[in-house]
Amino acid sequence: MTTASAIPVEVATTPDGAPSFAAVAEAHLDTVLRYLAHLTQNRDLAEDLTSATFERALRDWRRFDSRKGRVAVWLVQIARGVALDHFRSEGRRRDRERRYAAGETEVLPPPEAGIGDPRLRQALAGLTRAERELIALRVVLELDTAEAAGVTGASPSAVSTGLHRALGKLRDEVGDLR
Amino acid sequence: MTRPGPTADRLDELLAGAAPAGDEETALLALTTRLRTLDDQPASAALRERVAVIAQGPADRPDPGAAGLLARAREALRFGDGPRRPALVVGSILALLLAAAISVPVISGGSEDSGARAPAIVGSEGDDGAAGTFAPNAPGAKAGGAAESAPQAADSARSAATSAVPGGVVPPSPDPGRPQEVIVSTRVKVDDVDALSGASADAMRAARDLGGFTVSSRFSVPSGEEGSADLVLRVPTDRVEQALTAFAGLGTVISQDASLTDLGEQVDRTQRRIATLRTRLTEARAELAKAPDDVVLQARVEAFERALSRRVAEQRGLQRRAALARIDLTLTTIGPDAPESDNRFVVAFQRSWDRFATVLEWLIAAAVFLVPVALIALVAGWLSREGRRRQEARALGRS
Repeated sequence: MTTASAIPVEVATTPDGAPSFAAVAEAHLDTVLRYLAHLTQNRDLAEDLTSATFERALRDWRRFDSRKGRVAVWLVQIARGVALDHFRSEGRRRDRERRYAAGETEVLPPPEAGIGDPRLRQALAGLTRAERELIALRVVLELDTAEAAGVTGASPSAVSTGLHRALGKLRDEVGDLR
Repeated sequence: MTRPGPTADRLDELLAGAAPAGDEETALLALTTRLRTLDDQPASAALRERVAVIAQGPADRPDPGAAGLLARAREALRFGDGPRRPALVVGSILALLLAAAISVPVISGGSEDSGARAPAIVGSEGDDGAAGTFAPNAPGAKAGGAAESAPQAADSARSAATSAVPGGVVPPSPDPGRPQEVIVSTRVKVDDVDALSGASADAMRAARDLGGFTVSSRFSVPSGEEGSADLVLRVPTDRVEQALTAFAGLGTVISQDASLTDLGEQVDRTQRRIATLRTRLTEARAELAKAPDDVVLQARVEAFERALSRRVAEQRGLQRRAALARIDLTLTTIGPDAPESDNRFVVAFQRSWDRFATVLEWLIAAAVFLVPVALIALVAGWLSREGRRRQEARALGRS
């Protein structure tokens, strides 16, 4: 059981004591990437979205207020917005293509091979993005319920219930992994 | 089918570090451990370098300034980019136009109303200083007790016969020792047409209570909002002040013209003529008694009798004119507002009230303008938020 937070805390600071954006980006790159990898189930796409996330984060860096929450949570929020924008534009693109290629069967890409149990990977691919997002936030990144609720815009109870349901589905698919 | 396991709350506790109890919780924690190791590989060197370049690029760049903010605003409002931006811009313009369309008639309606209330001095003031003519201080004197009914005002005035008429109205003050004719024209503004008939009835009742009567009355309401009543009343001359006090209580005195004519000389002359006629009549009758068949003497006696009768009637007319004053009372819904009082406190209060009313009027106008905008903005915001949520749910595959 992991008890330590999956998000690094210490980052380099500027001479005036504030963390530099470069140090923040270096420290939280893997956090953002893991979140996006779980959400998209596509490592290459996750890397592209990670770059876009840090571009947007740099633009908004001056508006970040550490009193309102951790920088990692703020970055994940931005990553989520970037991902949603991508999904939306991708959805529109697919709609257009579907209209032009009416009658053709769409072939979804299979889940990528990667590190970890292939059965678990397959089961994860069967979940919705919302369910995968909750697992990424609560289990992988180990955000607490309130932070996860802040990122998703849902209520804490909805986060708890959604996570419970998502893990239940995974267990049904993969069985006992001990 | 989802197998039975820890509840959502218990799951939160387990993720927070609680020790597992039982096989189900242990299995669940094993699953979370596997999930953490899934894809647990650091970012590639290429990505790390790319992000480092991004982070180093315009690091600590200066504040974008007004031009930057303008560019961002332009970008934010760019058509065809965001999902609802065109609709938002068009909706905002429509909201402003709608608010203007609603508010302009309301505001201009208020101005017309103000215009209708603009002072239009009515009535006339007498020539100040002219012999026997009284002129009121100013039109628009509000009676002290507007709510007080006319009979009540008459009663209170009767108990203080010499008190001044409130509000600056100067009534004629006939000399009780001399025969004088008093004619007063007064114009009183009442609140509305509904109050007109009641005020007319009160005026006639007040005249009757003071020992007078109504000579004529004419009631006219040409439109549903404006009207007037013209009353000709006669009241004892020594009670003119009380009558005017009572009439002033019906509303706001907006003009008053009073004239007082001394009838003493006419009365004296008539009396002298009557006395002369009586003397001559007595002498003529004495001569006729000596010569009853004298036709000339008979004609002279008859002529003296007719002349005496006319003079006596003339004298009675003069006495009636002196005994009863004529009051031409016009009750109207049209007229200027009451003037400011001489009392400094009242003046200050009135001015403050006027300013407050003006501010209130503007606030209401602003509210009339802003409420539709705010409502439309609220609805637009709600719709936009719901749209975003739907899009987000679709993108995340939520049901």
